[in-house]
Amino acid sequence: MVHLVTSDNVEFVVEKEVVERSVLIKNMLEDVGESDQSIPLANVSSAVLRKVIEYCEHHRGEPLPSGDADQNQDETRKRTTDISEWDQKFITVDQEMLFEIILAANYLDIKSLLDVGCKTVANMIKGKTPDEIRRLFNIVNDFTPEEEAQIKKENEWAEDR
Amino acid sequence: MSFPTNNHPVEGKSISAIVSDREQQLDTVLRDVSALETVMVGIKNLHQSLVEQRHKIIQSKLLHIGFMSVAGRLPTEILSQIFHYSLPEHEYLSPALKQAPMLLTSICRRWREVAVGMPSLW
Repeated sequence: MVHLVTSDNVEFVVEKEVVERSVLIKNMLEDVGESDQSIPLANVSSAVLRKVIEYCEHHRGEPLPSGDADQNQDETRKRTTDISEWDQKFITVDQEMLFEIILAANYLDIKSLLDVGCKTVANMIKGKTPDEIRRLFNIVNDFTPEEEAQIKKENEWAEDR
Repeated sequence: MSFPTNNHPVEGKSISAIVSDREQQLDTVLRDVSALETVMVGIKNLHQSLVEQRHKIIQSKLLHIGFMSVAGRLPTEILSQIFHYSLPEHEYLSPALKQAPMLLTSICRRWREVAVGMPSLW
C-alpha cells in the first residue's frame, strides 16, 4: 500500500497498482523502493485526490499510454473528443473541480485522465461564440478597441464561413 | 498761432496717453494669457497622467480577474492540448470564425498568443 498526503494534510492509503497509474508516483516508488513513508502531494487537495483515486481505481490494469502512441496521434491529427460513458459521468463535476482535476492529472502525470479533462473542456468550447466562451470560463476580454479592430480586419476574409 | 502736433486731444485725453493705456492693458492681457497657458499645460499634463493611471488600473484589474478565472491559470501546455481537441474532427479544415482555430484567437490576448503560436492548429 502507498501512503499519500494531500496539500490539506489528509492521508490516503492506496493500492500500489491503483496509484501507479500516476507516472510521477510510479517513478517515485521506483526511485525510493518499498517504503512506508508518506508521499506528500503539495499541489493536490484531498477533494481532488479522492476523485483522481476513483478514476485510477476504475481504470486499474489498463495499459498505460506510451509516448510513441501520443506522437502517432498527433501526427495523424486524430482529434476525436469521444469520452467513454463512465469517464463522462466521472468528469461531470463543477468547473472548479474540472480544472483542478486537469491540473492534478498534469502534475501526477496521468495522461488518460488529462485527456478526459481536456476533451471535456474542448467539448464545452465547441459551438460557442467568443462571448459565450468568456462568460463560461470567466475570461476577461482584454483586447484594446484597436486590437479588436485589427483582429476583425484580419478575419474579414473568413467571415460568414 | 498753433503748430501741428500728434497730441490730438480726444475727449480730454491725448492719443499718446490712450496708446499708453492700451499698452498697459495689453501687458495685463498677455500676462493673463500666459498664466492661462501655464494652467492649460498643467491640466494637459494632469490629464495625460490620469489617462496613464487609468490604463494601469484597468490592466491590473484585468490581470487580477484573470487570476480568479481557473481557465486563466492553466499552464500553456494544457491550454494547447485543449485547443488541439477543440479543432473540428474532420481532417481538412476550412477557416471559419465560429470554429477553432480561428475562434480561439478572438477570446483574449493569452488564448490568441497560445493559438497563434501552435503551428499544429493551422
